[in-house]
Amino acid sequence: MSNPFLKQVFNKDKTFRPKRKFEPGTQRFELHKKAQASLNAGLDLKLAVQLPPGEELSDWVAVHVVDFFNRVNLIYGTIGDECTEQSCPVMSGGPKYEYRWQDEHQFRKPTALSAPRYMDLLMDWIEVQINNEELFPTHVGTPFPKNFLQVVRKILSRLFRVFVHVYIHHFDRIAQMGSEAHVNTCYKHFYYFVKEFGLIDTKELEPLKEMTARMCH
Amino acid sequence: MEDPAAPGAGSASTNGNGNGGGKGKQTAPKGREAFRSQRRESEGSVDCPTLEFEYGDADGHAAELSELYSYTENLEFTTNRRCFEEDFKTQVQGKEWLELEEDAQKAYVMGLLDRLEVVSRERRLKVARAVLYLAQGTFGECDSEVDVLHWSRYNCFLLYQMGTFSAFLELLHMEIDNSQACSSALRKPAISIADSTELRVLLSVMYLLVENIRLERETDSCRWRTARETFRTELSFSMHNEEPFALLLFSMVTKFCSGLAPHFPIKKVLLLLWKVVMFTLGGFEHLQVLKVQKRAELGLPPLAEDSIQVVKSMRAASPPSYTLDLGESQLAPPPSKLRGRRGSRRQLLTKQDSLDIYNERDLFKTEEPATEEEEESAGDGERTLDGELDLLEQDPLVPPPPSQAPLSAERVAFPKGLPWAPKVRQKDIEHFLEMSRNKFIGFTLGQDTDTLVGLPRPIHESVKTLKQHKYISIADIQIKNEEDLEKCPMSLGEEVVPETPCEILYQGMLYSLPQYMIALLKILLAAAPTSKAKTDSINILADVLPEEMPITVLQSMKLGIDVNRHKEIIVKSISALLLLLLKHFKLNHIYQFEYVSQHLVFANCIPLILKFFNQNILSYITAKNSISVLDYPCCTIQDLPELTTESLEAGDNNQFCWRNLFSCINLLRLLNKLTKWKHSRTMMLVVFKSAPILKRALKVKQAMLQLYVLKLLKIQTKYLGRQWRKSNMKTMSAIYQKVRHRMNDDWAYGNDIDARPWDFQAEECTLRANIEAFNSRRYDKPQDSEFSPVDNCLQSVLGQRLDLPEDFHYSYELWLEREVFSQPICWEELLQNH
Repeated sequence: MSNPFLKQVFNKDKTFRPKRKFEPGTQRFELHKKAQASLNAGLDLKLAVQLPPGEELSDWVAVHVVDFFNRVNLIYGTIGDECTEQSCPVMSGGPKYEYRWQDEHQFRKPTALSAPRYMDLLMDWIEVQINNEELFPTHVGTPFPKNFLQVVRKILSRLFRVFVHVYIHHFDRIAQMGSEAHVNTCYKHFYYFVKEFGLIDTKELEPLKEMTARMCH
Repeated sequence: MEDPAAPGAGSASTNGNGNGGGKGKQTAPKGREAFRSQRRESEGSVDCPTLEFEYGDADGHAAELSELYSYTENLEFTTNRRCFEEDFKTQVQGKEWLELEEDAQKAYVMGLLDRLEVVSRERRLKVARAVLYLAQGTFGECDSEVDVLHWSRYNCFLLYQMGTFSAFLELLHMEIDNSQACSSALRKPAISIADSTELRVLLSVMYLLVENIRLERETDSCRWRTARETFRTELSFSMHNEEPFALLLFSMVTKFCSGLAPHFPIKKVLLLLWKVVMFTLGGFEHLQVLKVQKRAELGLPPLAEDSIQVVKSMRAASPPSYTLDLGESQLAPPPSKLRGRRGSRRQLLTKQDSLDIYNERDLFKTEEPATEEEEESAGDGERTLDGELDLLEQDPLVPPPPSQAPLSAERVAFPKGLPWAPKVRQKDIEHFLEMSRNKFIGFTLGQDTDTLVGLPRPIHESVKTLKQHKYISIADIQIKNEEDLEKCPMSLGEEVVPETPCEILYQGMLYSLPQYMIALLKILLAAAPTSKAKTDSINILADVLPEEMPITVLQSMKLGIDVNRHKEIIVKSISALLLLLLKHFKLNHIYQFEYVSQHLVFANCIPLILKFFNQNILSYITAKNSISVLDYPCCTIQDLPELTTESLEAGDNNQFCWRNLFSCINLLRLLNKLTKWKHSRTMMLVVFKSAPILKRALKVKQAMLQLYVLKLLKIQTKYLGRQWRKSNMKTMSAIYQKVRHRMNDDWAYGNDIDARPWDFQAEECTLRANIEAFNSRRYDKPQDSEFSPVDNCLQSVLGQRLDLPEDFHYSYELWLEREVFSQPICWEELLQNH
């Protein structure tokens, strides 16, 4: 396997695993692609994410990360009663993408987990990062660590997976509650932000590519 | 007193229809049946129909009158009647009471009151019973319940005008001090209603007078209206150098609690106390009027909404799911872990980048015409609906969503706008600016909220928005004034305090206020359904237990219902009384409110209320502890049908128990009053694990009750942790929809600005110091010696006359040794003080 792309795809150590064989997308999974509704907040989110003059990048990014974390946590909470061990025995984004969990404790190797379990670990992990005074210093003037953006990339990639799962597997619930405008707006904001600062690999954004193209112009 | 200012006006307009039982009884029995079968099917489950409950100062007139009597007392109705008829026969021949001309009636009442002054206790009691029969509506001459209520009211006005109240007040004073009754009650192993006969008759007459005269009707004659105002004044202010009537009742409550007078009929005392306070200070609608007036006087902008109306128009939410109830208590982090949340000081940044658009824009934009994007979203709903249908037809392998309700129907249920206008406190703006200045210009400017130099444009915008929603409360002004008065007592001079009924009551209560509060809470504890009968707790059943204990099953069932009803009524009156007191004191002066609430907190009111709610609240609210055929006025005109165990079990046809729902709401409001803006008390809610308890209360589908539960949950979400919030999104959404938004409050995200170490002692001590300064400045007049010149003339100091005990010259050497020689004198301290 000399082809670097294939190597990446088949590497067992990766937590992001596009499946080789997958069922063609069903109606249910495609539902989210029609998503258009958005809150009219009266401002251009694309402009809103840009670093204001005089502002420090790390500060700007840190605040956004904390905020997105809180909001995505709530978004998942709204569909939490639907996302169970039974409904989602494997954390995935449609039939094509499966996510595995890896951390420094119990799961040293990427492990397939149910979606709710995966989400719990994911959110707990991010919370630990955010609460880490060395990574996210809280005093004005304390410098950010060198690996700050690296960690942020990981956090945002993981947060993105929550969006993927929610959109692909639970969009019906979102629509039923009438909250798609809220979720979409949050997604757009998130997407513009990671794009503006190149914080997530394009590959990771793949599962929602089509929807994103419709939603974020 | 001007008309709009008449207290208690609200109670009449909303609840004064008084024909037949409580409001609950108006519910069609059919719905009730459906409800009950539903309940049987899913006992303890989430299902509970929306309760058609209207909150108010009190229940309907008849219901309020019937609660005065326990079922054990029912025999006494006949006794009263007999006493009256015996007396009446000797005075008037050939006519009945209702056939008499008004003058003849007055003459008879005058004669009755004269005979009330006889020395013999038995004869006096008989006359008092005759008066009670009049106040109860001379039911022997009536055909219907409406008649009884009508004549009861008529007779009460007549009795009052003839001076019955003051005559009975004297008798009450006498009976309270009746040491013989006290000591005989203390010696008895079991106290029954027989021990409180006199007191019960006296208190009943007074209650009927207060309750009947308090009630306002459109058709009331001018004379009656004048009588009502006179009575109100008489009760509010001290007549003939006496204390206000409420204080006498308060002292009865404390005496009862101290165990010195176990025979006091405490339920009647509490009911009367609550009604007297409501009559003299005014009910909730009157409070609202007073608040509007006071804001206008202080030059504050008018209120954004009438909270009573907003709450009335709210709809109940369906309760959250309970699958996650288990282990919930583990989800709440222990207080020790509740250190400052990360990102809290980053708060500043979150504000400037308008990331909060969802929170804030929503509020302003909801009323605006739909924009392009919103229209799109509406259209989108239909499209998704189509998509959903397609999906169900074409792909049967995918499990359908559990909820089968059509999407569009559920969507309609979402409210258009938020019920409350958002508010911002001055403190919040100051805090926000302090953070911004610290970041951008490196120093702070204290309370200056106008200088924005050096701050970027987004901050200017934020400040502008915050200021638009700034709300200054009456309490803010009062605190400010108090600070000023404290700072410059000389230049500002004496404060002019208007002698309102509320002010007078506070002055009277001030010195024994802690005891009053403790006593009320002790009784509340004893009456709470969750508390076990303990030997050391006070016995609140003295005025419900018959002399002879029941023998048959039927009798004991009846007594069981009676006892539960009795406790419920006690809870109702205490909860309503405390709430009313807190609300009135808060309006009158914030530190009066703080004084009362601090003593409630010190007396463990917060865990007590939580304990109260830690029961199956749905079954408490639907409890059927009443026997409608035994209720006044029904029992006075109908021949009592044969009671059977079946008919007792069946209970009444009400969907819910008005008084219990009322008590629950009162207690929740009380809890809100105590914890609002008080960090350490909010932390008590967290420490006592109130979240699961409160969440269970959301099962009751009644908008007002839910609102106050949601408020209590909102103030602690920051401390319950992310997990809790995630798994309680339904509750979170309900909070968002129903509770007022505070602009800089990150309740849903947990970035707590105030996440400082939790020091209950320090916070309460600061507050206490402020309260004490207020109380001593305003009420300790004679001790104003700080500014009087110091007398340093040896002659006049030694020449002062001091009152010494008679035997002082025997012991003065000892005194000299102990108090003078053995005490080191700190000369420097002396110098510093003067």
